Amino acid sequence: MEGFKLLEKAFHLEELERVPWVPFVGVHGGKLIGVDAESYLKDAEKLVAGISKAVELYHPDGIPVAFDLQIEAEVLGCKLVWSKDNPPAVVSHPLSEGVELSSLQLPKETDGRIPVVLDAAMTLRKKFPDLALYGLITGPFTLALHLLGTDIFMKLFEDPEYVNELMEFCSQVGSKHAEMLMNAGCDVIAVVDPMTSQIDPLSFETFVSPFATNIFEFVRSQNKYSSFFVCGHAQQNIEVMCDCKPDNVSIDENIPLDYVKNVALAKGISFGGNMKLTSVLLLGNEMDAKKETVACLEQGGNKGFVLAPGCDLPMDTPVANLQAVAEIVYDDYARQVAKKMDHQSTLEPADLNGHFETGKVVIDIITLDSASCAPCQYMVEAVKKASQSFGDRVMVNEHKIKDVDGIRMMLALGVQNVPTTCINGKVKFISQIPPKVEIEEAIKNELTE
Amino acid sequence: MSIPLHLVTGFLGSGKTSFLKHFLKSFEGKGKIAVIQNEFSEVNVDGPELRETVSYDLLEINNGSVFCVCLLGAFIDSLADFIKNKQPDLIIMEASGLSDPIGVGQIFQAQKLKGTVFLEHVWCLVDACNYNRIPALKLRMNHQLRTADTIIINKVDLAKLKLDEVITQVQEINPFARLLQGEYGKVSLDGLKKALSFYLAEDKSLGRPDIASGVIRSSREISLVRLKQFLQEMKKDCIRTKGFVKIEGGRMVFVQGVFDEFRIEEHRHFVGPAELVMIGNFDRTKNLQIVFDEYVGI
Repeated sequence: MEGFKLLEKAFHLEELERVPWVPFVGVHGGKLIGVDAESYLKDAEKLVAGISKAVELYHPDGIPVAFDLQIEAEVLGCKLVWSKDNPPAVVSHPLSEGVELSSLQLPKETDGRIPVVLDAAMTLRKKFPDLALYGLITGPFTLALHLLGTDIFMKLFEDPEYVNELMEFCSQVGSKHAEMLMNAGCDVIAVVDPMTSQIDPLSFETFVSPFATNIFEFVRSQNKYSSFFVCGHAQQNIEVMCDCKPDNVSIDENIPLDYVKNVALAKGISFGGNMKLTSVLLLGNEMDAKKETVACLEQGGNKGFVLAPGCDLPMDTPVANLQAVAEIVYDDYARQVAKKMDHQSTLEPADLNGHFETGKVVIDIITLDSASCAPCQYMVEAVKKASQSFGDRVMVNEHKIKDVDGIRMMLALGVQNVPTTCINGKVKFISQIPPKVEIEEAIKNELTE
Repeated sequence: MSIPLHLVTGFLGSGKTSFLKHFLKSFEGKGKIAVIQNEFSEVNVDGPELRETVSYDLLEINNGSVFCVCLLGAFIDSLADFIKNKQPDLIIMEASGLSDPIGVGQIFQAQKLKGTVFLEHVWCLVDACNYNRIPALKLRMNHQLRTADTIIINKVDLAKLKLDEVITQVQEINPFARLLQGEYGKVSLDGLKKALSFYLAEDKSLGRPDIASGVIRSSREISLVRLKQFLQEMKKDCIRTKGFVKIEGGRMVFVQGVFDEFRIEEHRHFVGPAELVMIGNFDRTKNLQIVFDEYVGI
């Protein structure tokens, strides 16, 4: 099924056969095409190339056009400092430097880097008609913080009227930007408001809810979908976020997924998240990424859940880790295998001393369990059949990763996938069942070496 | 050789930069101290006045709200290069006032940083005058307090009347941290000097242990039995463990361990994800977060 339709079903809380997957590819797209963050976020062609590459590698159902929460701030006069491996940082706050709120204008299609993202969105729309395109806008509270700086926290109490006026302006900016993105072909507007994690629910309801709600209502009036992104310790605000009536709320690893699931589904809203960005997707290996994916999919369930990382993917996230996530999303069998790989990281690899014998060929097949897993069964049978003619010169061992010894052997042999056949300690056949002649050939080669 | 890192947290205006200056002056001449600060922090530590009295290396980072979990990845390379080039004896890092305080500890598990730096101590400054002034931000401040090893109630000279109240409230949130009182970020660091003499001593012929630290985070519950099993497994490599963990039924426990002894106490004044800092001589091939997750049952 096409990605957008799958996401639409998730937003409508229909039961799904497969959970939709939305990797938040921001500057990571630059990494995929070999350019730095600054060149990437300033060039529509590069955005298109980066996202196209991500689509090819990760098979997403939806993807953001650009992940940059500084676009509106830059247009409104905030100074940015660029970095090679991160989105830019806002370093000046015009409203705390004498600029009057009344002098700020709503952004136009031609302002700053808005046309870069709009151009990219239009090209991607044509190139990937079935993919859900996410248009990101800066949430009103985060934009207000960009414009006013941290003074906003004191003003919440000292001058609430001013804060309300500022939030009203920021929500108008958001709606205007959302309109442009929808016209350019975006299907989902993500209102990304990470700084709301700093405030309590009462302040959220007073200073954020009315303005965020306006944006979501506007998006709905245009027959498009919306998602409310937050990151950080924002558990306290999930309920009030849902009350703003987005179609989806998306969270990071700091908030329990089952908590969000319960709150969101009870309010008839879909939810997404929350794969660990740094410790797993960036710093872990493929198996770690797979296990994390399985854990999220099991917690999220098949109704209303969108699998996504907690936030903008770090630029250097290993491609293999995100491909491992996609593999789990699309392949039930891979999911079963990952689930069985219990306690891998706490185990020592098996000791291979004495495992091999001179003049003999030792074949090790790592399986889930050939009795219950069809591909494993066929691989074991194929290898045994091919070995018969060699008599006792070939020894075939099956190692089931259902038990600890099997996992230790898998680690010792450096095997990543199941089933895999190793001949004399070398990985030879991965997942695919090779024809008999190929196995015989491989054995002969080892015997003559 | 692993370099101890001290993290200074505290909300905007709590006196982090003053404390940093005081810290640098207190250790002047005792070793090579490096400072990491957000280039656009409210008050920059770097200035001619301090440079004249103290020598230090400075790493500036320009990520805006430093240590937002999304931006951590990019910090790995700059920190690894900084350590390699400057080889400090101790690093003191000022977190942005809006930061997620100990998130930075997560990146010490990166291969490039393993065994080079560890999170030794977390200081949290509290502005005694304004502690109760911004209720909207209380949750964030409480989070910073909870992760601290030492809490400095700062500006006590200006807040005599409310001081007892602030202390009581702070101790309720984190009864386990050491509590100090300061004026303009100045506190007695005598105890600390003794503790740090190990790292800052001029005779380094014995070398320093190969220590690493990990920050484990989890929003999922772990059963008390599994938590104990996890701690049991880690204790052979672990010198110190400290933090909060969510156990079955959504209850929170405080975990504190020194070498192979650990204690677990229930703590009622906290709801949130687990955050556990572990310092020790860990197997470098292992990712502590993943090990913990496995015990959670992921």
